[in-house]
Amino acid sequence: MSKMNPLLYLFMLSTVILGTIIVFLSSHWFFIWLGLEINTLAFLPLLVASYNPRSTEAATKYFLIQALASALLLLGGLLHAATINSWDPSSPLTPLPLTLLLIAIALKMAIPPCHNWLPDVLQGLPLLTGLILSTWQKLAPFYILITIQESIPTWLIVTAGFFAALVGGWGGLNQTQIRKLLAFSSIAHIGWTIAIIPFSPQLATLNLIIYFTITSTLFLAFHTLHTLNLANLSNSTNFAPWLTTLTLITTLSLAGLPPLTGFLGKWLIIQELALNTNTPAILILVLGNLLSLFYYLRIAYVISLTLSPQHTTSTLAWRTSPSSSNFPLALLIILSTCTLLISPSWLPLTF
Amino acid sequence: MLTLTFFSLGITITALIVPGRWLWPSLLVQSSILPLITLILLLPHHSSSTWHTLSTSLATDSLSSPLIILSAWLLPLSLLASRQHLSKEPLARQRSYLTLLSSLVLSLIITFSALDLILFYIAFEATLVPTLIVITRWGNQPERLQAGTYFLFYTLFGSFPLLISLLSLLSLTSSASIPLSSLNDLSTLEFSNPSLALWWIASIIAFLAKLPIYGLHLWLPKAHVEAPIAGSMILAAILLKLGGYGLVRITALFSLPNSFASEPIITFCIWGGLITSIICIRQTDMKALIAYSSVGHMSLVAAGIFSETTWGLNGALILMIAHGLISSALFCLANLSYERTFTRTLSLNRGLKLITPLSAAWWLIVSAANLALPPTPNFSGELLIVTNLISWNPWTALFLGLTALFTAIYSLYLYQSSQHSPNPSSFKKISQTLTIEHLNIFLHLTPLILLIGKPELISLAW
Amino acid sequence: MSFVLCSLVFGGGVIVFMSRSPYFSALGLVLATCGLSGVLMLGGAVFVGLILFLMYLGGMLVVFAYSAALAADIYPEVGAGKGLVITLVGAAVLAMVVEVSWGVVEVKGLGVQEDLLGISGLYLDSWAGLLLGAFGLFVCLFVVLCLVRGVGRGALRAV
Repeated sequence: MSKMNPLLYLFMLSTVILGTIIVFLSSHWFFIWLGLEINTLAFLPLLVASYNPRSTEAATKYFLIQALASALLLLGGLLHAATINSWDPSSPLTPLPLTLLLIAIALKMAIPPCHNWLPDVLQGLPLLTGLILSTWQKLAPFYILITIQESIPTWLIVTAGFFAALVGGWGGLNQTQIRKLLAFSSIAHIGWTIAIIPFSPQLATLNLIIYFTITSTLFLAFHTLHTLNLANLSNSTNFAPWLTTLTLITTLSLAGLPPLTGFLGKWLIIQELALNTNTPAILILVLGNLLSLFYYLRIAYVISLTLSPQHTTSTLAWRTSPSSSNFPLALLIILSTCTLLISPSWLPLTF
Repeated sequence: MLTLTFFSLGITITALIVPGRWLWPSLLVQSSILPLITLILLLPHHSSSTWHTLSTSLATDSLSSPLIILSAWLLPLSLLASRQHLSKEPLARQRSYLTLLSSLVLSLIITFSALDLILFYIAFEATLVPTLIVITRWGNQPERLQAGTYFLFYTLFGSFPLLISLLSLLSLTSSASIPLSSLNDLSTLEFSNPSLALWWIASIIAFLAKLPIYGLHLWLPKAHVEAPIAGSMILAAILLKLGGYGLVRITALFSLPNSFASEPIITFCIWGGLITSIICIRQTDMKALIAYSSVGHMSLVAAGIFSETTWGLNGALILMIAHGLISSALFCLANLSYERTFTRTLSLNRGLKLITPLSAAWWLIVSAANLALPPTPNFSGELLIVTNLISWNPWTALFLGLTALFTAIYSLYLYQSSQHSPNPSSFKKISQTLTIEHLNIFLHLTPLILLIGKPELISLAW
Repeated sequence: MSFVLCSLVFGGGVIVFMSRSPYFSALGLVLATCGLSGVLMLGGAVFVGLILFLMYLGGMLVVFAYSAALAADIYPEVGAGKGLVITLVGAAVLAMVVEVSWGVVEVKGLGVQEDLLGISGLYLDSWAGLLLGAFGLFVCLFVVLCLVRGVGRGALRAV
């Protein structure tokens, strides 16, 4: 995939990881900013690793958005330090720095109304880089959000959450590109995740982990199937029948249908919101989920439900034969479909 | 209970791993043993305790054990029925079909025997995915995708409110256990009647859509028309009964004043029953007719359950079991002629009596049972419900009588138009009926006929 | 004075993104940097302003060399005539607004001491942070090298 020097790729990848870890370890706004910058900058060469005009566009957009977000974050941190003379991210924030920080985080995590860059950027990337973008790159801003959640008004973050769930559902309805669909699904899931932050940050973490597991499975599966759009997906059954079938199940798991793992996060979130008698929020989240269910269902139809007896109307794509065993993918598929039964074993993951 | 659960799980695993040559024999044997094991559930049926065959989270009572036996009973029958049309498919696809069917039965058994409402919900929803895949993967026409979408969205639009209400219940009373639920009287909680009623509606809407009553029924004819035979059979026989079962469980939770919320729904159910039986008469598609007749019968079941009387509940249970067997048998018969004439259109399925004489007898018996002819259990079920509803309000006699009349008309119409009158000229090379098909219908009708002699097996021992 | 500096900052920014040739973009960056350092000095942070000016000038030199090497313009032009003028006027208005409304840019008469203290504190107490910052800059340089080192090897180049 990558035309980059593997050593260079490895260096950049580890720097991306290092940047996020710096954010995790910092108790100072300046170093949080620094970690985010290192993370963003090191991610840029990965974006253009396979050269084409789309990835150039994606990298440019990503750079501009992330630079803006970092600048806002730094400004917010500085103003915070200037007003209450503390660089500590967990100290209570005054409204102006809080607003700036929230906008920065919303830009970083693609929370509506700052979400429009994500589908475009993801569309320009190879699936594996997209996997990093939609999983690992969300961790650092999520950590910051968890850190400052005490100062955020509950209504604000819950509103942002269900706005995200609705936008994620709505936006995907009209898409035929797998990566854009995955981007909108990411927006919707981030919506569910942040809506629960004021009530239970642990649950938000759990939901994020579950989402990461399932979405990684899908990215890897689509990568193995060499599939970037729905038309191409419709004839992947001939290529890898069982993987295609399991991808179907995983898609339904991402949609949160009950016996599958994806239901766990939604179940616990609804339970927690019901415990706080926040029924309107639940209703809107669920409505958003039904919207996104529609496009998951369309993916499911295209994957393996429309094949016979109709002939496929799309042209068959050339695909190189898959490697005989793909252990990480197999493990991920098991994790992302059948682990609702052993749901208590997910709970220690939520620190 | 674990024996049953693990046995049906074993069938699922067998479907995945057994060598291709032994796939059908081993599955047929295993799935025929399963209903025999479930018959054990009838043994402690009238002992003093309500719940029996207890394990940690699964148990049965007199409401759930007939339904479990029905689900287990329908598995070998649906396998028998789909043997024909699956034989042309590749092995991997046969395997996945059988896996789906057996996992469907597994989740049905768990649903009916769940002691915890959350487990009940999860298993209830777990039936969605296999059914969806069976409908949209093995259906025959492009419209099956629409049918699948309708099926999924009707169910989910209903069941998310159910999930919310169950979780609210859990967070308010700290227990979602069904046997303990009689201890938490919800009316003691500080809720005004309107909000309690709203809660109640959120809880029942999923089952009303699943049942379905008239008004929430649009998915059912589509799903039935598009689904392959096994899908139709299980859908009609058991999945609809999930709705009835859930209604009984949920209405036991909420002790609302009867006039408050049940009255409009009972009225609406009776009205819906009448409307759907009129709709049935003008159907041209055999499977759609049977599907609409299910909607009509299920409306009666819902009315019986909402009356919350012993008669009503007993009638609903009896009607559910009887209708499960009969509608499944009707779908089998429809499929029998479909596999020969390759059409479901009524006007093209004429004069089958001359070609397949024995199946004409089956048609007669099944149609008669469908119109609730005495002494079938359909009759006793409808009798209990109708008596109860008339005592609730005498005016319902008018509508119930009309419903019964139209039911008789469309059942006889179905029988007559398919068996009598000359064959259409398009009939060429119609193959004989097979013993396996006769066996299938026979196995549908046997329990029904035996139940005439011992109806207390499917009555509630509360 | 501050108005001049502010319009230098904004006008420089305008030139950066409006000009079609990298030469003038680099020039715009230099202008903006001069203005920014001037604003800092006016605000009293003379030392930081001076340091920034020196560092930025060094950086600008590199950028200028890069852009001169990458661009193949024989007749470089600034940009879309009318649009540029309009945007420059807008920048000036923005500078005026900043000066009038915010009042940030005013001479406070603070000594050199504060920022000097800050700098020495940075070296004394948070040497680890300094190292980290240096690492960040190193990564930045590296990334820039990666992104611009030629079409075939995956360069981010629109020229």
